Amino acid sequence: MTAATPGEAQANAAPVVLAADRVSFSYGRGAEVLHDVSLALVPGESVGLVGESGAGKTSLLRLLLGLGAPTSGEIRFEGHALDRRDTRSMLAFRRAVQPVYQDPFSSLDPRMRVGDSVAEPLRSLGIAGGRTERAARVTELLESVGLPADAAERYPDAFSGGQRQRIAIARALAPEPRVILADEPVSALDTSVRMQVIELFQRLARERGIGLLLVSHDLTIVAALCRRIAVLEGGIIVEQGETRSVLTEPRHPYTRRLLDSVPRLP
Amino acid sequence: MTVTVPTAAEQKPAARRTRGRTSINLVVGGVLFGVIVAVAVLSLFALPYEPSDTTGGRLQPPSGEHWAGTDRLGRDLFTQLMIGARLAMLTGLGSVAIAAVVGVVVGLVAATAGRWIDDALSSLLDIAIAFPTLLLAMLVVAWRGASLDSAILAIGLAGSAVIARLTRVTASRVLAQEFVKASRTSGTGTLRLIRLHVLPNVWPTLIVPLALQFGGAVVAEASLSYVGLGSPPPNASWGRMLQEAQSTVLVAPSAAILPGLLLVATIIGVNLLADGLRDVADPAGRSIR
Repeated sequence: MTAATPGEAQANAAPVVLAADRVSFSYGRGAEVLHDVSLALVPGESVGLVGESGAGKTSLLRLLLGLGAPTSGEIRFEGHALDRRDTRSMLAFRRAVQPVYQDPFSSLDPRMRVGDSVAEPLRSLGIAGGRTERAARVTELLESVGLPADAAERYPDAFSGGQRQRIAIARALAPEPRVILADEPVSALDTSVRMQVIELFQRLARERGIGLLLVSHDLTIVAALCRRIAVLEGGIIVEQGETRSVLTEPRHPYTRRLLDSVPRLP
Repeated sequence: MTVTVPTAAEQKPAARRTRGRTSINLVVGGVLFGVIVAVAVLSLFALPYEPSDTTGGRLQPPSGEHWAGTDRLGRDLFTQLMIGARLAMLTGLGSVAIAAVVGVVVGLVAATAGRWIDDALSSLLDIAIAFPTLLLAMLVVAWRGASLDSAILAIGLAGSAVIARLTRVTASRVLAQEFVKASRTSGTGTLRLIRLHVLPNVWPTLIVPLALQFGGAVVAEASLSYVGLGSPPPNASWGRMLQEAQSTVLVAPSAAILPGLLLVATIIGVNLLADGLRDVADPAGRSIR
């Protein structure tokens, strides 16, 4: 992620993979939940999206994942407006942009073996062809998130929350995406495993050069993981910039309030 | 709909969790039902007498030659009971298959289609559920004539409404889960998503009602045969045997008692089996609740 608008971002060396360009969105005829939001994601850089519940974080994520269309503005993928009806370009989009969801207990099908869940993007996006090839890839993916290879044969109920989130991350990594969008990926986990999952994200982003959009209401996690930060309030991005500068010298009163609400260790 | 019961190997962790009561249900139900199925299968290959053989003497009590006695035309009742078992199994299987296919398809369409279609289908289903099976059966018989096929079709259609409503509710609940969104973002199309994620999560809630409908279908066919809307002579369904034995029940009670007992045994067997199947279908409590 670079500057505030995609236009400025494109001027830099790293190409923008995914961007929201002046996006507004409302459900049906209801009030706008997003207003004129612009955000750009670049491979290898982590961006934190913070804001309280109801600020529009999840709605923005839905649009960025191509699960809904904005009421105005556009989602741009590799510089082109995303057309959800264009099957071919959506295939390329799904390969490049993968999500990690909040609740690892509902984001994995309880009746599907872990290996099949991890392999689903491979099959549906037509990536790894043969059965053996796929199995080898699944093993490799599970190992890369710190799970034993025999996990593939088991069902999700054999795993803890942290392990399930690792499985979900393995699934997201399967099509070798350039951007991962994570919606509160650790908020459903125990405090003790949170940091481990965060470190996993950090390592993967560093080693594989994946761009990460981390949605969270927890500023400490964002501070640990993200170089840049965008603050969303009431559907508007009120502040955006380097994490360090936003956290040390917040310019917008909302950001200040958000910072004050973070419990500090004595 | 294809229903795949997990193999024994997959059930290992479940076996530990299965309670004693469950296995008793499964065993007793399995034995009762198994015997009836065995008799039904046997009737295809060997019968003690020809169904139309009237040489047995009228209204004989059970004896070495005629294990269940004879009816008032001198036909062997044991033969008829065996054929009745076959018809009962055919009725159960046929109507459950119709109910499952029609019900699941309609339910899935309602759950995945837009609000307008969903509302229309739901209202139709409410009407269909309120519609008496016997009345529906009479309409089908009026349309196609009295036969076992008509009875199976009518019973199956009547049962499909309940299955459709159940499918719709369960499928909507599954579709609201995050793993469905995850499947979409994995690039999975709607039809494949239904096959991979929705059906496997829906069928455990359907298997018990479907098994119960099997029993209900056998009773419904017996009722239809009793009022003359089921399989016509010389096919001896248990319901028709009951109806024929009615006038001579004081002289030859076994002709009425035996088909009645078999009916009861089938229903109890299949219901116990349904209870047992519930735990097989959901070994580790993986259901979406």
